[in-house]
Amino acid sequence: MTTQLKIMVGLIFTLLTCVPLAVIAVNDIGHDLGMVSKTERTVMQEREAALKGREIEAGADNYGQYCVGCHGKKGEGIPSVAPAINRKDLLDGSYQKSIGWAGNVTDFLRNTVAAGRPAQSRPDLYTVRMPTWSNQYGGPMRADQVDSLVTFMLNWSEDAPEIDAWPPTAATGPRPTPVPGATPVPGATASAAQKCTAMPAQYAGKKLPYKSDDRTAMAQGKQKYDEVCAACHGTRGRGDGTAAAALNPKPRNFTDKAYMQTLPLDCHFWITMEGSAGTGMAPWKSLGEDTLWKIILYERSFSGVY
Amino acid sequence: MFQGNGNGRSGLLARLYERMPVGAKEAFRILGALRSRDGRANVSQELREKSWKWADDTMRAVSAGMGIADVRALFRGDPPVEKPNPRYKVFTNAFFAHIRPRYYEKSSTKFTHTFGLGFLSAFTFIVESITGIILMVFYIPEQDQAYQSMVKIIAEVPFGQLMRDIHRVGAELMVIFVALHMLRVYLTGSYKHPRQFTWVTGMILLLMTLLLSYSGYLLPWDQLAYWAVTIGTSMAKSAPPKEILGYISNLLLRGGDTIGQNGLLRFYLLHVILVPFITVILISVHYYRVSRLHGISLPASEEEATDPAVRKAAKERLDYLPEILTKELMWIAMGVFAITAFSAFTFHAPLEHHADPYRTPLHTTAPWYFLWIQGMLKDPWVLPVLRGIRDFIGIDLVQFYDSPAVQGVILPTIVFLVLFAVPYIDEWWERFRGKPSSRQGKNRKLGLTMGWGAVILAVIFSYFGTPYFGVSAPPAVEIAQEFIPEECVLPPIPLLLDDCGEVRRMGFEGLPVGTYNLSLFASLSSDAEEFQKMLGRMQTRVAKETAHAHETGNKAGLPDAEGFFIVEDWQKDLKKVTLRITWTPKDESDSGTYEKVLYLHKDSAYE
Repeated sequence: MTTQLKIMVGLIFTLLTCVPLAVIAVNDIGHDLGMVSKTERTVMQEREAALKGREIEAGADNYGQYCVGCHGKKGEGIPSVAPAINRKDLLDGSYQKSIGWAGNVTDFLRNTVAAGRPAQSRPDLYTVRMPTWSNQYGGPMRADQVDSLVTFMLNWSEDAPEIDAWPPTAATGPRPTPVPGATPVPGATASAAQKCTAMPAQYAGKKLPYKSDDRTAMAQGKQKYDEVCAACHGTRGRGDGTAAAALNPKPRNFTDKAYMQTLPLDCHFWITMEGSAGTGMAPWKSLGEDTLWKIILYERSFSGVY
Repeated sequence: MFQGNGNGRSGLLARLYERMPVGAKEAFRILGALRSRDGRANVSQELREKSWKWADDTMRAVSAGMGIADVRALFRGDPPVEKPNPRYKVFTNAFFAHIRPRYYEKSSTKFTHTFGLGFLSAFTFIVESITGIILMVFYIPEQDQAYQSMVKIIAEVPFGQLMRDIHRVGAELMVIFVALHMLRVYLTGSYKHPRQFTWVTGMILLLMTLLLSYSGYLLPWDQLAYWAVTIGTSMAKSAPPKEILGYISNLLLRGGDTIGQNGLLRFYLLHVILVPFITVILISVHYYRVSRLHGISLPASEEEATDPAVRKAAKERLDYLPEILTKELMWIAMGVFAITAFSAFTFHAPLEHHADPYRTPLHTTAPWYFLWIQGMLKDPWVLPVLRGIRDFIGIDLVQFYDSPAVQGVILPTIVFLVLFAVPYIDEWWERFRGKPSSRQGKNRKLGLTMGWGAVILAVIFSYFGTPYFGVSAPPAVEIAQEFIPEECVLPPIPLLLDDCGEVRRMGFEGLPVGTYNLSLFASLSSDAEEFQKMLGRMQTRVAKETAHAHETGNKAGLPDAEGFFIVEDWQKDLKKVTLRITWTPKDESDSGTYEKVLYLHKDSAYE
């Protein structure tokens, strides 16, 4: 190649390099250059949206792991467990205003998730205290997980229903003092016999409508269990779910064979339906009897006692 | 103007004129000359000459010795104008040129002899330095912010993603070029006397290249980074004696028991300061030896030719200025274009989920250039052979070989030590055989066989290192991983795009809400929708496991497996996708069900 030809080829390629650079310029700063109309997204904004979408996905994953148990599948709350968090006033900032929070909604959510609540806000309405979730305060989540969770929650904003999660009640007297007493240690053998004596007659003698090897029912029960029960009772039924730390007495350990022997199926069903007084166990009637039986089928499989 | 006839006033002016500075006198002279036509012509002539001289001197200063006429001739490909040849002056006067040779021997510049691989290695190093410095502006080496700063680079910094992509492409290319450069030098026998030590510096540069690439791996702080580096450093942990060297090297690298803030900062500093520093110095030493000491090796057949005319022709001089300089500039222009266009249009560096120490990805692999080490840890050949040797001959190497310390640390170290010593082993072997040293292939049959053999072994062991070989999670997990991988799967071959699995590729719009029993999609008409075809492929996989269970008497596979694919509307622009596989439990500990959940957002754009 002659010198001149080499220089020529070099110049041509140098000019050609401007093509990808120009494309990237339009992609990234098309608005500033006036090459992309302001109503359209630039490619960089699409990337930004994609990354935000992935953050929401990660948040949904965390929500499914940590929050569904108390706040419900889609943040609708679970009566007498924990309030709705997909509600309008929480996400549009009016709730924050009403309690005198000076920061923005994101900060409020992030702080609440990270640090939880030192005491139950309304023991008359909800039984579970919001635990701390950030690993900064001893919880299981990293800072980025808290952030993605908040991004996921804010994605409810647009069609959030108006729910009054904090209705004033007549019973808003002095805060009930926690009863000091023996904390049942999870896994310790106790007997359910005493509790079951209070069982109403209509529950007596109820039986599992499924065989213990019905795996379709078992799988459905598992799905529901993981969604609703695992937060307190743990994914393996040991009573060691992430929310268990905040509870006293501790959630029941389903792997405890000796205890499960003393808990007949009808009594188990009654407690699941109506909740258990004096504990964090909420009534789950709303899920429907059939679903509850499937959950019980699954819960029983932890100990193998049917 | 001031030539008066000596009377008082003029005398004063004349005296004043005498005292004027030279520059002012000159200005008056020119002003005076401008009054006549001839004078004007003289002045403009004078001005032209002066400005030409000024420009010429400037050019001489900038080009370290060449005048304008010579620079012009240089770029036109003309012979030098002045004598002695001013183009050679540059090499003694100019800093940047002084490391370059004045001329190349003609045959050493043949493309098929070197493939320009050394040049390309240096080129990618410079590309990495430039893009790396730009990325450093936006990157924060802090555990809680590193990932977020990567997101920022991609989503908010103009040209940020391009810089990151070029940096990634350049890094892969640098490893490829350096490895190929080494292979070329080995195959052409260029490491032989007198270039043995140049090979050694090159080996150090290979290690530095690998270290640069590997230390950069951790910085995005995503799952890929975290686990690839965890695997690598856990090998360092098993370096014997484990309690001393393993413990210390692990502690030094990770800055603690696991990789955290300390480890990240250490890898960052390795990546941006220490290793580049060593690399720059070693490149200088390496290149100084090539350019000033021995030159690039000639093709062996010409160097060792019996015909003196061939030898002489091979050594014909090709001046650096302008032949090689313009060639290099052309290559740089082409290289910059190729790497920019590839990064802009084709390749995007992946960014996986945020690093999570509690969630081990299913198939974690080392970067592709370390796959052979991972392959040694699970290869199917060596151990059986060693067992055979133990059983039939009685030499027990199994005990020695069967440990991660040997396979993961000692053997790779030996491999690298042997590579370092290649020129000296070679020299010793030639003396042992008593034959004259020769670089020609026909005289190096053993050497070439070993070289190609090593390449083939590296490829095979790299294959053993991939998840395609000898790794199996439970079958239901594998099925889910195939269609809904946890992270987009990076292929073991560099510069290919990652694969996010069929379900993600189907996208938000492509997944209609509903519960689908996979067995209904077993046989589809050819005009079925893409979504249904995907369900069909899932069913094929599930049925395969059922058949496998049937064949093996329920020892492997999934007995009577059924699959369900569930798509739910979960939130605004967010769908929940569940793949559930149930089967008859094989024993007590078998739950008989497996579920994989994926949340898919409308915008998240996995391609």
